[in-house]
Amino acid sequence: MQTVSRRDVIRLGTVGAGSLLLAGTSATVAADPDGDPHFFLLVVLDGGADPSYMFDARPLSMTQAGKIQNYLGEEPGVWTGRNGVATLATRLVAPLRPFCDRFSVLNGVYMTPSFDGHLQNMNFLFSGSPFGGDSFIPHLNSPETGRPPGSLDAVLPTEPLFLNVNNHSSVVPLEPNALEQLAQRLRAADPPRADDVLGRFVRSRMAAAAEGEGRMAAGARRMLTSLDQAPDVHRKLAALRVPDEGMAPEPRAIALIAECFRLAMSRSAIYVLHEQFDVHDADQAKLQPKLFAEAVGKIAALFRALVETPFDAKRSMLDVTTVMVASEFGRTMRAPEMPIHATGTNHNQFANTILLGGKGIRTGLVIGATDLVDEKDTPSRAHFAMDPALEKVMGRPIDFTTLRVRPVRPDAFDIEDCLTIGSVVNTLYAAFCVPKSRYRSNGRNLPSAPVLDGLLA
Amino acid sequence: MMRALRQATCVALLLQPAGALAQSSQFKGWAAVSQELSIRLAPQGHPFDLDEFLPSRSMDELLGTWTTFGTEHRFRNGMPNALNMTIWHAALSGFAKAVGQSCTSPRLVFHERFLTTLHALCAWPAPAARDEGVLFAFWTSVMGYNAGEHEYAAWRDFFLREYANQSATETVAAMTFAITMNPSFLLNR
Repeated sequence: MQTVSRRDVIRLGTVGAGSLLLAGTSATVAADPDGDPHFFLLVVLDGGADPSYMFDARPLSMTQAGKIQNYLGEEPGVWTGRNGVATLATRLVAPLRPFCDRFSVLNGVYMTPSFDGHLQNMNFLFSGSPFGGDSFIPHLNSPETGRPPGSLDAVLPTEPLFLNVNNHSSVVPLEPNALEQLAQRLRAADPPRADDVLGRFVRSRMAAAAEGEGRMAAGARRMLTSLDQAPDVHRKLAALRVPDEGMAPEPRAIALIAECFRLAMSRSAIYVLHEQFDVHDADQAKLQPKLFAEAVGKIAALFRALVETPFDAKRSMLDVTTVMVASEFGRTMRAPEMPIHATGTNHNQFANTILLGGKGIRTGLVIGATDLVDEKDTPSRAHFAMDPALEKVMGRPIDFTTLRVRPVRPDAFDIEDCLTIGSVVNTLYAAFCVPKSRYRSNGRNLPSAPVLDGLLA
Repeated sequence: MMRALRQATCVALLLQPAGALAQSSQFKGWAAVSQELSIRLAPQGHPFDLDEFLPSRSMDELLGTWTTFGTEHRFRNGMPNALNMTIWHAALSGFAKAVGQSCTSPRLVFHERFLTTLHALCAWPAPAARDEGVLFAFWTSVMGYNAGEHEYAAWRDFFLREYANQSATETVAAMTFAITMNPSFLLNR
């Protein structure tokens, strides 16, 4: 198995740093004066990607028994983590093999147990509520982490996601092709000024409108704060060297994100894959092998770019970035009343697969698992209670100390036994030193969802 | 089974949206601002193409825009942030400069009534341009009736005081910029 070594990273970093760093800019100092830069990259598989085509596959015998669709038509292989835990994975994940020690696989992750809509689960991923609320992304950029905040919470070099989150005002799409022109125009323009008479007057009217209560006052306060930050963003955007248009999309995106991180323009980045994984229809579902081949290729390209793109002379982008690859949920094994050879799949919020790697994360592990491992496996009573039609695989109870699946077949569903997106986000919070007051719980009157300590480096 | 159902229901009902649901006005968005300026200043049926003042293509989406997902219809990117403020500043500076330059050579096509006001104001700093009627006509032409009288008074007094000796081109541009950067102009009520 070919892997990318740390030595490769340093070598590539040394070679590439000179050409990527901005002239006259001490990138590390610009990004994080304490010398411990830490960023976050979220790669989103939009539409609900089926984990059975990646790291939570099922034996072909299960398809032959009519339990689960498999349009790849191949027996999956075994993917074993450094912790000795194995999972079945299809050959479609092969492009990720060189990076197998760069991320951990989390199977059987529960999203919202009560809703199976795209928006509700995407909201749940970001905010912990199916209806929306505060996203976790800006929390990673909060001064309460002890790090100087980036100017923006996150940049998206792709299309933005649909979310009902209310603190996403500093999570902004930055389409690379538009940025080149923007940077050029801003280089030719004066940044907003507060030291001239007109600038002071404009500010004074915002300040006047910001007094008191109400929506207008709140909006004016935001305008005022933003105007204070705007000269900094203006200068950073003007200094931004947009990566060459001739580059492949993924390395180009990482190069752009690297620029944003180095300039302390943002703490996080969100990259949404173009592939649409919502395959209710049989004809769509049959395209999944191609869909996943393309998507995994892109994820591998992102990892490669993270390894090969220097953050500075000593560190690669992956050295300073925590990476998460996630979809809003997984998928059912099949759709009811459709033949197994011509079935689509529906939404499964009981079993998502998430990849977590990079800075602050113990990598190469396999954590969590789902039930119904083959055609002979019988569901627990808890499973029957939540999924009477047996359309979904479900995450199995986990021991949060050992991060191993507990050998139990529960009679009743208890979210506190499960690996949840709340635990994943709280683990990110722990890695970024977000205060515990922000930690998510899995429901009212429940304690914080457990941090996966064994996953923290 | 009852326990599971109870728990599932609890999770469904009790996970309220997190705190900090601060109610805040958002930007109207580039499309709305362009439309307002066109209605107030441009000849009927010939709206401005203000996109030329955006620092780059696609930037209008960052200033507040409507998007649809399934049955959800939401306004996005309208919360003021450092980036959209930078873009508003660059775009409205360009627009204001074009209005100011129209004192000497027309950069934009205006409707008759606004042209009359603009021509009067372009005599600045002559007393005729400092006339209350001219200033108020210019203010209402650009701002509409979005702001209270105190805002007009603050604007008028500032320019009478601070721009008493500046050129018409510079003053008209600054006046336009000050109006369009006002929260009453940019924010949705």
